[in-house]
Amino acid sequence: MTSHAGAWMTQTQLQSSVPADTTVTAADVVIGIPTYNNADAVVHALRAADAACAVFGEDATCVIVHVDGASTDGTVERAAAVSPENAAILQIAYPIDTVDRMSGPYRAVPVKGNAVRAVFQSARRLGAKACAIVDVGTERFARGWLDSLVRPVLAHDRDFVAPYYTRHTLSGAITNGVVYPLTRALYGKRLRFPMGGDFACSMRFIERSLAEIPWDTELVKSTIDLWLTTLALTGGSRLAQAMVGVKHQTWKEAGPDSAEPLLKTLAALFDLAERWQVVWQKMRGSEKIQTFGIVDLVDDTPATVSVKRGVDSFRLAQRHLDEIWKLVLPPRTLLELKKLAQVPESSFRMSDDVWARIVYDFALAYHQRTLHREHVLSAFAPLFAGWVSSFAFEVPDAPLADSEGRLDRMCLQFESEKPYLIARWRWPVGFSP
Amino acid sequence: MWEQVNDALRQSASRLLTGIASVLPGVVALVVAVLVAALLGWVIRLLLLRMLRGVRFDERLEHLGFSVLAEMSPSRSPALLLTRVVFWLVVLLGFLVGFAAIDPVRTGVLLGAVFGYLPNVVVAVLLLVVGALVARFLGRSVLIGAVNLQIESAKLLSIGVKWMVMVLATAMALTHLSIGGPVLTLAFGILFGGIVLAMSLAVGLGSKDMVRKGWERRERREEQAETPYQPL
Repeated sequence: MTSHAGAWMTQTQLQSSVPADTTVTAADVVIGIPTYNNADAVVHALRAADAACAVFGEDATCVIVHVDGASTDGTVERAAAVSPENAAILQIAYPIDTVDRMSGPYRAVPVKGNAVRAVFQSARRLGAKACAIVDVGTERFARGWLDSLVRPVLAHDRDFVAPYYTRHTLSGAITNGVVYPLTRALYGKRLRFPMGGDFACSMRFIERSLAEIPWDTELVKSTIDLWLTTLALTGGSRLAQAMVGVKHQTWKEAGPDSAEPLLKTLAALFDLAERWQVVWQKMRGSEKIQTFGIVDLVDDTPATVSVKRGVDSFRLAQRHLDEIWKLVLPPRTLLELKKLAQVPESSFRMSDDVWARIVYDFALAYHQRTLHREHVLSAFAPLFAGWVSSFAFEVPDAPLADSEGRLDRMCLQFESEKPYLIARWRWPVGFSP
Repeated sequence: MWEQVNDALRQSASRLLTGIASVLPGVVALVVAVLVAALLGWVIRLLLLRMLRGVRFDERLEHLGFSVLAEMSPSRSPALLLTRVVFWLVVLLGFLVGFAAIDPVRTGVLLGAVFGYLPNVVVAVLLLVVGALVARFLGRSVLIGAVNLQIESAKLLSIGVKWMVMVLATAMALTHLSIGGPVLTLAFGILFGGIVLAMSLAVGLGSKDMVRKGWERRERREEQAETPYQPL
């Protein structure tokens, strides 16, 4: 097995696939790092990936594929200055439109789907046995993180290994409030971070994803993590989770900037629920997934949420959006929301059963096109702001174990309300809550 | 002389009776036609009502956002309103058939005028329907967007947008029906212009401080540029 340790395969002109004239023709493990204007983070990610490749030694050859969307802040140049010691580094480009470059202030790699597809194609060309995608947003990596991600694929026949982050429960509100509870209840697996940017997968999974995912759809390009995770959850793939490290995401306060990622995520979740409705309607309960790696990091970054702003946003919406909400939510839920809007801020608590039903009712409204879909998604945003504030009241300084326990209780409520979702999905007119 | 008066009266009565006798069959035909049409209309109305209730016409209309129709309809049922309209249309048709028996020429002229005007009515109705759909969509978009931007007057903005679109659609429909003529055009122009002026004033007055400060800053910059350099 030829070692490519410490080799640089930088091209002056980035190419959109593995260059034909490169000396790297095969690799056991391909590690993809997508970037777009991440000059401040790319060096850390490349060094961490290169250092982590040392764990494989002679057992597996590693290639790091830095895939960039034509950054303008020197990301490519900074990456080229990194001297690898344990792996070869290839630099390729992924296509990105002008409109995507201008997309919102949310810190993410735009059209990441294009980047991931480029990495998958590179992995296929190199004949890799395992492929990992590393997010430049991961701030601190746990000990042995890459081994935890990739080893289950190489040695334990896993198809998809999702990340498990150590982070404050108030960080990543969309995951905690909607994505995790909903995917757990629908697909019956306790995958803690379904939208994690770091993951590993087998060549078998890559072939399936390249064949089945509609890569050219705008929504898929922006929410590829969720699409891949859901494909793994629904296709009988063998799953695992791996301790990756600390990844901190700040919940943006209620306003125009905060809505876009929430709306895109919701649209992807609901589209996937439609696509896989035959699968999730048969699932009951949820089962744990084996987790590899050790917890040796603590997220000590304080997560701050402006509770008042979320409560005000909710109250304003309750006064003005009643005519919209009554098309989606049943009278019982509307009454609960009305009562909630009138309580003092210190007593602002949204119960789990109300929240679960709200999420399910909006999924139903999206599926049945009760309103224009953009209106369904936008009308959900103030309710989500209210939930975040309610949750922040309950777990502001609780230890991680306690807050995860709180989250687990909420997820159990989602699972117990699932029959309600199934009944209304199948009989939209006949069933009346 | 009394014989002449007698003759005149007998002739007059005879003319009257002849006139009535000539019109009477037509009148009887008219009454029969109206009665038959009423009976037919009643049957059609029953069948139509059953069919509309079978496809949940009222619920579907409410779901599409035409709740104003429910408010205008008897027993809040647009299906009932529609069947009553159909009933009276059938009765009207019967009346026209019967009237043709009395005066076929005038009936032909009347029918020609009605059918010539019908396409305008259809287009006007379409304009109102499209206008209502657009108004509802834009109103909802503005409402939800304004709430997410934390704007307190979100409902007011939404209602304003809906009314603007409906006023525009109504003006277009009435113009198409040739109702109102220049008076309508003028009234619409004044109303729309007034709304735009009010919004311009609101924006202008609200941002006057900002504009004033901008001009003051520009003036200061120009004064600094004009002052000649004087070395110490």
